[in-house]
Amino acid sequence: MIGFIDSLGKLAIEAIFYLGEITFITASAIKKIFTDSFRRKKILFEQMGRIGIDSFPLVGIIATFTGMVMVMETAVTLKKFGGESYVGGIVSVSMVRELGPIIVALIVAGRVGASVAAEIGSMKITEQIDALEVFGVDPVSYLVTPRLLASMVMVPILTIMANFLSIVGGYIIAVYLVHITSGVYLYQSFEFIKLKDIFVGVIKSFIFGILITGASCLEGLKTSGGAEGVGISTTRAVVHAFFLVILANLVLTAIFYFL
Amino acid sequence: MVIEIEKLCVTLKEREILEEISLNVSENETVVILGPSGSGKTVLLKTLLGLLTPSKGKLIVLGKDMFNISREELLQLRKKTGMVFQSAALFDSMSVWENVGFYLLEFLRLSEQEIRKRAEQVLLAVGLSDVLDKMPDELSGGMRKRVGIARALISEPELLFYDEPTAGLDVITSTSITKLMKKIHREFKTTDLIVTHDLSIARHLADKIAVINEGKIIETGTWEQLLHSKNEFVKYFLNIGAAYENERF
Repeated sequence: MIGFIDSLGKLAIEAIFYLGEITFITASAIKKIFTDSFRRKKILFEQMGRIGIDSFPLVGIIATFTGMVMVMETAVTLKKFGGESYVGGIVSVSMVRELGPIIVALIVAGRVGASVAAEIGSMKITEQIDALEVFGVDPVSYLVTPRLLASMVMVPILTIMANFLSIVGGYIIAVYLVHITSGVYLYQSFEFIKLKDIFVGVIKSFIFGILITGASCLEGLKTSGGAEGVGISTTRAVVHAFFLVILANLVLTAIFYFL
Repeated sequence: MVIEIEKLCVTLKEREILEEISLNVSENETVVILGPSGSGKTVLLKTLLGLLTPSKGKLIVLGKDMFNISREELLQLRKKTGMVFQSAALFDSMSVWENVGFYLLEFLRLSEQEIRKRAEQVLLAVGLSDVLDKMPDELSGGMRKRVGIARALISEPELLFYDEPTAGLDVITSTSITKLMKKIHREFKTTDLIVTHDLSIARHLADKIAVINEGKIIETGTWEQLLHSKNEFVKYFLNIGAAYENERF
């Protein structure tokens, strides 16, 4: 029993320490956004391309398919009560409030988070980060700030696109398979969504973007050892980013809808 | 004095890596820190660069006390120093000219054309031409080292650090890098601190050699003085190295 409490205590201390590290690195990077990221526009646009444009095809396909599946699943149940005309509203609200930001965040965490951790981790073990410091360049300002700003901009944009595409995907199934009229689906879709839902979805994805980049950059900068170390950092970055996104979603949903 | 080290200790993860190191480096001098792998050479170099924090002792680099140095002062100090890394540490995502001109791109408001021109001049000084637009992964080990040297030189540093400059290179390439280091020291009038286990560098370049083992400097002197050393480790290290060199040739 004492052993169990002991390990629980150690785990709690590690978690607090980790949250402290991620807060520190994110805060340091944010502080430099207005001074340094505009000086390094090339890196910023490169990262925006990697995070946003390169992720778009995957996000688009998954969001469209998710919208389609949701309409199929919901319509079957609602048909039993004769309420299939509400399918558009249910799908759009769940996507805009919850699934859109979460799906995009998990895709970005898997795709971009892993690559950021691997890239920075490789730079660490090949002394490239030491080289930056020797030149008098702050690695947080050079590596973390542009990636963080790119995520803060691109993850919300991807989320808005994912929401739109999921409604379009749902429309195709609703109109051509479930045989709901086009006008009813669209009316329900937009009737149910409140401005607050869109706002909350964007705020969530903005925060998810910060958490994903913060976790990935932190793991990259903490890399030690050789190729194995890069592998460990990459895995840790993705796992931590997933966990942080899910945890933040719980907290944000509670704040916006229950408190 | 360019570098003053007195009874310097460095502790990493509760283990004392450097124990009471004392060493002075004068202007325009070439000092070689010679020792086997794991003796603390690179830790000493990283401490001199401010990448690691010393635990006690005295450390003054270019007039700055490294125990009481602000972040801003450290950044200014680093602009006066150049470092050639063991692995060259070229930025993978940048072309050769961007690597070499990195300092200018970051700190000076020069046009891209001007920086390319400056990079080309420094690359010529280290014996490289037609590599400006190549990426680091297209270069051989020797060429990467030369680009690393060019990158360190572009800011015209007063103090130049080399970390194992010939590690991983074949005999011919390491000889040409050693000659290049000598030429650079002469032409750029730098003060050089070289960390190596390569006896050839110590013999051909050093004004002063400090032999380090298990975190302690056990003897300091010229090559000739070390050849007549009474210290068992110095004798062993120089004999083993000399035997290896003889085998090589």
